[in-house]
Amino acid sequence: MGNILWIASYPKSGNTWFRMFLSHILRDEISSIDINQYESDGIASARNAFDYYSGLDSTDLTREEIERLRPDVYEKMSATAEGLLIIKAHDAYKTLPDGRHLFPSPATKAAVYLLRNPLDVLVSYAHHNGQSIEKTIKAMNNADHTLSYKKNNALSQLPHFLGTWSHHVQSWTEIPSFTYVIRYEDLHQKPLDTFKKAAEAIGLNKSTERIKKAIEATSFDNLQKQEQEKGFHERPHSSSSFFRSGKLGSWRESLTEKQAGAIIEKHSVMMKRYGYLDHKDNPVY
Amino acid sequence: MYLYRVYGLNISSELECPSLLPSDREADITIRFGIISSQFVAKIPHKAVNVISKTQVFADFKGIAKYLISDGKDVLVEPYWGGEEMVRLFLLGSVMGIIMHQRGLLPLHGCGIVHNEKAILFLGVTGIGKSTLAEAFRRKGYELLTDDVAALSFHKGNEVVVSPGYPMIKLMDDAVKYFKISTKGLAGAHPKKLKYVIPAQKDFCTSPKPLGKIYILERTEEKILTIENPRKIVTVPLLKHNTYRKVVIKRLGLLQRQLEQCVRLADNYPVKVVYRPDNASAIPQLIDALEKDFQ
Repeated sequence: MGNILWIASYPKSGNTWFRMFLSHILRDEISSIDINQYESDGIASARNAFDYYSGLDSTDLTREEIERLRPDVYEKMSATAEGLLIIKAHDAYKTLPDGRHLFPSPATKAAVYLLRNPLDVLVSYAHHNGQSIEKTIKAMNNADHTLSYKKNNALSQLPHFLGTWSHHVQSWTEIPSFTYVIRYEDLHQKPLDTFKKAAEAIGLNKSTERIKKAIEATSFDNLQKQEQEKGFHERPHSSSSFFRSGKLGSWRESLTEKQAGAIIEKHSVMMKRYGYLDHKDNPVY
Repeated sequence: MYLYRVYGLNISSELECPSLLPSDREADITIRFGIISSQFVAKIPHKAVNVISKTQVFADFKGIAKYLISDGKDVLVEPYWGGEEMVRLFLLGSVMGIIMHQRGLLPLHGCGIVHNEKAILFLGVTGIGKSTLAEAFRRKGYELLTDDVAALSFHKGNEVVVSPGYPMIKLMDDAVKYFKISTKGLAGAHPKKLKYVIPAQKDFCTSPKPLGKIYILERTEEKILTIENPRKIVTVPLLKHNTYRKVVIKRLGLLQRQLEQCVRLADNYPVKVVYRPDNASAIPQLIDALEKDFQ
């Protein structure tokens, strides 16, 4: 078993929120959390980490060559780590052409997969990227959707493949045996139970009191208030705020029937499986 | 065997490296093809770059080649499959970086040009525009000293010397477009032409130069370019951070030496930080500001 705890999700599905919660419970002292100083070991697609651990220049490599080397990079990161590494991932889980997995078991301690109602993801993702709802629907329904992919240009992140929203969910929840799945909605509606079980599932047994404190310190209102007061370094230039709404079902205020229908039609199987559509195909949230 | 000279070192190589300058001196480094024993490989704990001992590094770049680098002078290369180009690319890049560490040189991640007979270095992370800057200066008549990696040797009396690299600049597609360079007949740094190789033989400085100044490039969201002259507490960590192939330093037991070398640089040379806006139109502005600062 490795040292890496993957916190995986499609974008805008509670990844940062959950990592802030973890950061809080991993601390010895119980205090408030500074959103710009929480413990995190970066994102799986970081170019500088790849270059550092692979000993190569990623700009000298094709997307396929980079992917082939990524499992080695994670095994090396894990083998040389002094303790637990908490790494965010937006990549879909993937088996590579040589049969290895992008996120290999020998590097992995556990993985948490966060998923959220894709209708709410749509609104949040569009806002995050400063893009229209229509364009964002296309991205979420695009089987080739890849982030940070600009041919012949070195962005700070490596290209990372997401696929459609359904593919993303399926890839993480069906292939690896080490995934613990959490719904964003449960973190909101049953926070104590959901956070506590998640912490236990990844081997962090903390008292109920300790979990309660962490939930309080990383409540959406607290995170949003901090961002308003001092800004948040992970906010993209294209967006005015990172912690925007966080509400369940907020899509009802901003999507047309046609826009919601385009997501529901494409993702009904996965939406039903995870309780986002009822048996009559009506949205639950 | 082919004989070359790069980073102040003479190389005898079974692999032809046409981009290197020829040499007629006794070799410091020997590069050979061979089989790296599978029993040896099986004992290696993890993938990519492995420090086996204080004098030996094993680099396993999946699908490209395995390299066993010993004592800063012997390299055994076992390619996986496919073309020589990639095997050469990583030999001249990562493997040379590891050799420099083993030999006590400090390889910094950056380009170098010559101004008033001194080396001016531009360091920074991948994609920040180091090679673009070097090419822009070359077009203004400055000699190129090195692209991508600067090999620094430390001598008595705090003198630091930068040795020439290869007579070429590797540019990405956007930079090639910016300089309006025709890609017809231009070689790729990679078989799939992720980067282009711009030959620079005629503007290449073939002799080592004493270090003049170091500029570390950083991106800024601000629209205005600034060149700052921070204190050692800022520049020493930045120099450490911009050391090439630093993944091997700790395991080779070289952390203290790297720190001392970076402190010597910060103590004896101007080390400045350039905060550059993130767009191509900022290049002429950047060149102007740097030229003023060279004086």
